[in-house]
Amino acid sequence: MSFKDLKWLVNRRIINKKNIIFIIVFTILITIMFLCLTLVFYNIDTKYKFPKEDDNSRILIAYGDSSRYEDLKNINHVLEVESTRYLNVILAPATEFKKDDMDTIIWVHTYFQDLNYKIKNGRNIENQWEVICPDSFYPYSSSIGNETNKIKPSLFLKGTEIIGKTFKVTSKNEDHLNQEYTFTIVGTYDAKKTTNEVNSCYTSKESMDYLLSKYKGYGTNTYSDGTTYEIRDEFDDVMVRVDKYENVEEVAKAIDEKGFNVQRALYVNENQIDLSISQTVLVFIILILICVNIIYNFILKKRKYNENYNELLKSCGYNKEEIYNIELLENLELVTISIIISLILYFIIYFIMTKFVLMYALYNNLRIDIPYFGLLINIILIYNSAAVCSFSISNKSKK
Amino acid sequence: MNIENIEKIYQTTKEKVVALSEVTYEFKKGKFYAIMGHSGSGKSTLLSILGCLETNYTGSYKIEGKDVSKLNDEELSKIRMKKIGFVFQDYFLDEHLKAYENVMLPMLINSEIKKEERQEKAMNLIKKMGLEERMNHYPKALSGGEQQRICLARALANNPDYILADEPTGNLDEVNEEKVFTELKKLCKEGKCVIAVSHSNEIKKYADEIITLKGGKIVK
Repeated sequence: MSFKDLKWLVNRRIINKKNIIFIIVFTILITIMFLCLTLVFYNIDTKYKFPKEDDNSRILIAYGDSSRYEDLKNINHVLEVESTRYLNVILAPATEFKKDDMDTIIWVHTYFQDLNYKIKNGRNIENQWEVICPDSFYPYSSSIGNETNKIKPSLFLKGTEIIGKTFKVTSKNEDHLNQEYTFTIVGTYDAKKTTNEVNSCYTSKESMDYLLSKYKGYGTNTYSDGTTYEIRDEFDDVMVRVDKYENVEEVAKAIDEKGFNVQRALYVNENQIDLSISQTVLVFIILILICVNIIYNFILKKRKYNENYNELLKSCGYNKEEIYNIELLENLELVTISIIISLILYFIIYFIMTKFVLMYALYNNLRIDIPYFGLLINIILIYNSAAVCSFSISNKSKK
Repeated sequence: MNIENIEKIYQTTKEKVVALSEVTYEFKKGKFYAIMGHSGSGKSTLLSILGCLETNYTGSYKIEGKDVSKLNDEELSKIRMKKIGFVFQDYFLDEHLKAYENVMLPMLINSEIKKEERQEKAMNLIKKMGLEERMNHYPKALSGGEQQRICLARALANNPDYILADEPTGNLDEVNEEKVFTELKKLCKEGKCVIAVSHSNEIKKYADEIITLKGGKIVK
């Protein structure tokens, strides 16, 4: 029997009540599997990928003999040693961008060369009072649960729209207290490869020197005679900027060996993440087992249901292999139809979730990537299950 | 078709059931054979063996001198395709296929019939059954008698020498029963061998030989 004839026969018979029910049930199951798989890979990314993209993951905080901080620069893989002062941010009210009664705010950070952000529009910072901002820019506050500040995707500004725009900041530096300075946006960076909020802009150290407070904190103390005096907490620790996330452990060890206290700037709760990974993997495995179970039982029931039809084919002269091929092709076509519909549903749900529902993710550039490779493996697994189940049931009935 | 000392035993968990015992007969082309007997006498079992659908039996079975009892599934399938046409009581038409497509079904595996010839051949067979205006209808739109005649056309798709009919008129009224038996008789005159299992006494008017089975044996 030619493949064309086989296909013709299968296609003429494929639309019936039982098959439609199977397609509906299986489509729902596969769509859930795809979504679950996305979550599995998202959790894996949270452990292995996102920390690398978070700039703070390459920063160690060292505290000790301040006269020896320069020594830390000699440690292998260390790029810079700077005051932790530059880890602080300046908040700009950004009223220049106000729209629709939304609360505006821009976070201004210090730019270090090792950040190496890819400039998508305009240029990088060259002079004082210049900033680069995210290429998809949202200069508004995000208050989850607060209806007035609900994230509105329509208010995201494109990189090309913001070049040349300015906004004012007020200095917190004690030497320039409350003085106003104006920033000009000279370029936009690709924030999608970072975990920055969508209103995080960067400026030079020279600009931040004018804006950041010189002290960690303030306090008041009392003399024995009852009079009070101001205490100013100096920045007495340093940030050590490491070239790669993979080298942070090694550098931390080296800092410790030099007699400094050391801790990571970014704490990743690996136990929590491992638990999330385990849970989602477990759910996925359960879904695979359900999937195989459904395929197997459906094919078994279909075989019983088609007993008379198969006897008819046999009486017409169809041999066992030809009858098996008809069954197999029909099963694979049903699975294919289910997978195609599932993929469409999955992409629709993915788009809606990432663009409209998961606003927090949108705001923090937390990417929920489509795990293409994982989806492909999943699809191959499903096809294999269908083929193996068909073969197994066919072999059983031959006995 | 020559069968000699055919014995078929069904083994259940509790007992052995002898469906056929010491059955010997010769079926010739150009003749109409009626196999009759009460329920459970072995009629359908005999027909299954003759149609090479049942292979688990003892005895000798030859078609045109060739011993088919030792053949494998593929070889038996070829014999069924080339030599034998089946008509069933419940028609077993594929409801997803039109009438002429049902008739084409056996042709899909016959490499001797070219693809371009199939539809014409199927339509000619349907015309022969007097159902030209029904060829594009689905089985649901056909009466019982019409469905059975489409089955007959399907059985003739690969121009077999032998037609095996299992209660072909079991679900039909008198008028349609007569039509079906008449068609079967015509086939004998064309040189085919027709073997039909039936409860109906009407078949005696058409059959050349009556074979009566009782308790799995031919009764003379």
